[in-house]
Amino acid sequence: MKRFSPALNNIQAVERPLPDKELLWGDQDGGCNRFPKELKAISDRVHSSDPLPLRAFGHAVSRAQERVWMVDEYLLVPKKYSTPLSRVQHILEWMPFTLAAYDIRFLTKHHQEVDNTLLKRLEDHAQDINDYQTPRAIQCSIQVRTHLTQKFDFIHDRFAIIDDELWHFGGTVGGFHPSVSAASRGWRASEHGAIDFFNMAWNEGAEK
Amino acid sequence: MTLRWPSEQRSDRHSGADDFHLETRQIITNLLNDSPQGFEQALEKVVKRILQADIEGSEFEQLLTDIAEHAGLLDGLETIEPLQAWVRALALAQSPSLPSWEKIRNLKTCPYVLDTGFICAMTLCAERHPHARSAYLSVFNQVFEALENGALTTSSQRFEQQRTQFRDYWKQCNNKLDEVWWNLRGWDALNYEDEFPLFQVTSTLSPDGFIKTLGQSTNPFLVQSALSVSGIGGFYPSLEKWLALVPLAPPAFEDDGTWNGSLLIPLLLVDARTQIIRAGTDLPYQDASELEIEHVKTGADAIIETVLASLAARVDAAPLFARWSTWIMRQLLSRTEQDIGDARNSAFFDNALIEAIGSKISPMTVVHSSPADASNWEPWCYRCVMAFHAHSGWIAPPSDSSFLLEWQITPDEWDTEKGLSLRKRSDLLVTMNKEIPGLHAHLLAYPIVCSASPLLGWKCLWDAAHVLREIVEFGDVDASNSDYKLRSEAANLVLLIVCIGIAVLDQCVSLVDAPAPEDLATLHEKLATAVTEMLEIDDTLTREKWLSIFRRLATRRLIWDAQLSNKPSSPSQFFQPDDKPTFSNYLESSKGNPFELLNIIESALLNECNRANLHSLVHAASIDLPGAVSVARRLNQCHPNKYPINERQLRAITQFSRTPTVG
Repeated sequence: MKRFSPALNNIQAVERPLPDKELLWGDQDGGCNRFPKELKAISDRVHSSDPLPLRAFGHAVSRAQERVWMVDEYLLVPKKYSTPLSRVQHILEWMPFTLAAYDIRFLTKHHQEVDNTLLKRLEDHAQDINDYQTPRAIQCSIQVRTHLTQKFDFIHDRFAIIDDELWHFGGTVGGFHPSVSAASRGWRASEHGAIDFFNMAWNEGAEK
Repeated sequence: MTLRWPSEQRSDRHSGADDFHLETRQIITNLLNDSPQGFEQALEKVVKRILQADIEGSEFEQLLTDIAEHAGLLDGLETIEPLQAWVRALALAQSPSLPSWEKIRNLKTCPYVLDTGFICAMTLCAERHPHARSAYLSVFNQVFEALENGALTTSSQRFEQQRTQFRDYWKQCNNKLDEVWWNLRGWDALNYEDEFPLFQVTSTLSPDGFIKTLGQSTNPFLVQSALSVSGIGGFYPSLEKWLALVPLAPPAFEDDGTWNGSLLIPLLLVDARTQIIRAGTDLPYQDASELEIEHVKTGADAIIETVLASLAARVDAAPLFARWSTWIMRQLLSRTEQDIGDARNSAFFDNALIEAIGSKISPMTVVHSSPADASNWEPWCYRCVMAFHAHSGWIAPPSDSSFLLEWQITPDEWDTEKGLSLRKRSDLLVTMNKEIPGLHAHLLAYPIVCSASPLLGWKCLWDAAHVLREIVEFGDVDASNSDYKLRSEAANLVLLIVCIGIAVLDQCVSLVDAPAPEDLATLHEKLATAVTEMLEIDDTLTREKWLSIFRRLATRRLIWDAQLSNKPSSPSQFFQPDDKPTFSNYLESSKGNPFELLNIIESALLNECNRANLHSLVHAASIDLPGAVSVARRLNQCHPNKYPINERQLRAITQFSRTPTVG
C-alpha cells in the first residue's frame, strides 16, 4: 500500500515502574513465596469455607492508576462453600471508593448462577467511586463481559493486567483457588502482548 | 514448477507423507499378484460374511488370518491389516449402501485418525474394478445426506454431542457468513473422522460428484470436515486441489454482493487466506535477512496471483472479491503500520491480498456498497476497501456524500434506528484501531481528500457531530442505556471524526495539487479547537487520546511552518507565522502540566524540528524547561506509579535546554 502521508515520529508511552518478578502461593495467610510446607496447611486451605485470596493482588488492584483487567472463566464462581455474591463482594473490596484506576474490565464466561443483578452490582460500583471522588478527570468505568468460551474459546490460563503489570494465575484470578496454586507477577504486559491479546478477546464480545 | 502452499513446501522438506500409503498399496498388490488359486474366492466369502452379518473386528481378523495362513501369505500384521482394508474396500464396492457403510467403517483397524490403509485399498479397488468408482460415489452421497440430516450417528458420544450442538447453533446463528469467515470457531473437523476415508476417496476419484454434493449442503461443519481430508486445510493442504475445486464450486454471491448461502466458496477462501499468511511463519522471529524476506514475499506474490486469477474467472468474481476483501480489511484494520511492514505478520499478507484484489476488480463491474445481508461492521470496512483500491489507482474513490449523510443525526435520532445504525457500523473501527490517526481514518478520509473541497467535507462531519458532543457532555436523558456507555460511545465517534480530520490534513500536505494553504491552516485550527473542546467535556476513556492528539497537532504546527521548520523549501510548509493556534499557543496551553509540556517538546525533537527556533519559542513563552523537568522528577519521587517518567525523555530535554544554539 502506498503511504497516505509523511511519516511522523511519535513519542513512546511512559512506562510505570514494575515490581520485581515474584511467584506467590495461595495460603490462609494471604500468600507466600514458597510452596506450602506442611500437609496440614494445605488441608486447612482446601477445606476452608473461605480460601483467602492473595493479599498482594488485592493491594495491587487498589493502588492501580489506570487499568484493572481480569480474564478468568470462573472468576465469579467459587469452587465450593462460598457463593458468587460473596466473590463479588470480595472483588469490590479490592476497589475502594478512592480507587484511581478508571478502566476496569472483567472478562469471564456465562454461568447460570451468576445473574445479571450481580453483574450490575459490579458495574454500578463505578458510580459509587465516581460520586465519592467528584470531580474526576476520567470517570471510572467497570465493565463485565461474559462471552468467554461462547465467542472466544481459546484461553486456558487466567490472567490479570494491572496498569502495565501482567499477573499470571494457575488458579482463579486473585488466588481464591483452595488447592495448591500459584500466581506469578511483575511481567511487563505490553512487552508480552497481553494488552493486545486482552483487547482481541474483549472485542469479540462487542455487539456487532 | 507447480506452485504449492507454504505449508506444502514445508512438509516436503520435513517428511514423506505418502510413504505409508505407497507401502500399503504395494503390499496389497503383491498379495493379489502372488496369491494361489482360490485366494480371491476365499476373500469373497469374507466379503459376503461382512455384508450379511454383524461381525466383530476380532472375528474379521481371524477369518483373514486363516485365509492368509492357508495361502502361505501370512507375514504378521504387515499382511493382515492391508488385507482387512482390501476386503472392506471390496465389500463397499459390492454393496454401496448406508447400512453396509456402517458395518464396514466399524471394522477399522488403523490406529491413525486417517484410515490410510482403507483409503489406499479403495483407490486400488476403483482402479481394478470399474464399477467401484461409481459405487463409492453412490455411498458417499447416501452417507453425506444421512450426516446432513442427522440420520447417521457415530459411536463416540462426544462427537455426536458436538455435531448436534453445532448444527443447532447454526440454525439460530444470525451472522452465518461471519462465522464462516471466522473459520467456524470452536469446530473440530475430527468430529466426522469416521467418514474421513470415504470423503477423501470420493474427492480424488469423483471430484465433480464430491463437489456437487458438498455444494448443496447447508451444514458448514460437515462440509469443512469433508474438505479437511480433501486437500483443503486440515490434512495435507494442497494448492493444486484448491485450484481444481474453485471452478467446480457453485456461485455463492449475487451481483450486488448478497451471499446465497452456498458454503463451498467462502470455506475455500478462508483456507486460501490461512495458507497464504503461513508463509511468514517460516521467517525467524528476529532479524530476518533481506534475502529471506524477499523470498517469502516473492513466493507469496506468486501464490496470491495464482489464487486470485482462479477466482477472477468465476461468474461471481466481483461480488466474491467484495465480500472477501471486506473480511480481510477487517483483519488489516486491527493492525498497525509496523505490522503491515512485517513479513512475519498476517497483516503483511492481508495487505498484499487486498492490493492484488484491486488489480483484479479493476476491469470488473464493481460492487459499490455492502448488500442488505451484510453484518453491521461490513459497510464501513467495505468503504475502506474501496478507498484502498482508489488510493492504489484501480478504481475511482467512493462518493463521500452517503458517508457524510450517515453522520447527520438530530438529538432525537440518537437513540432511534438511525443513531443505532451509526453506532453499530462504527463500533468495530473505533474499538479496533490502535494508532492516531490510524489506517481506518486514512481510508475513510481518502474520498474526502479527493473531493472538491476537503476542508468543507470534513467540516460537514464536524458540524454533524454537535449532537454527539452534547451527548458526551450531558448524556442522553431519554436513553434506556447507562449514561456512561452512551457518552463513551459518542466520544469514540467524535474521536473518529477528529482522526479523519487529521488524516485529511496529513494526506493533503502530500498532494501535488494540495488545497490552498489557508484552507489547510483553517482545517488545523478547527481540529485544534475540536480537541480543546473535547478535553473540556470528555471524561470517558477517550480523554487520554485527546491529549495525545493535542500533542500531535502541536508537532505538525511546528514542523510544517515555513519559518520554523528545518526544511523551509518543502512543499508541506504551508503554515504562516500567524496561523492560529501557533506553536507558542500550544506551549502556553500546556504550561500547567509539566508532563504534557515535556511530551510536546520531545515530540518536536523527535521530528527533527529546528532546535534553535524551538529554543526561541520556549524562551518567548517564558517556559522554564529545567524547572519542568525538576517538577516531573519531584512528583515521580512522591508517587512513581501516579507520575511515571521517561528517563530518556528527561535526559534529551535537559540536554536540549543546555544547548540553545544547536540548529
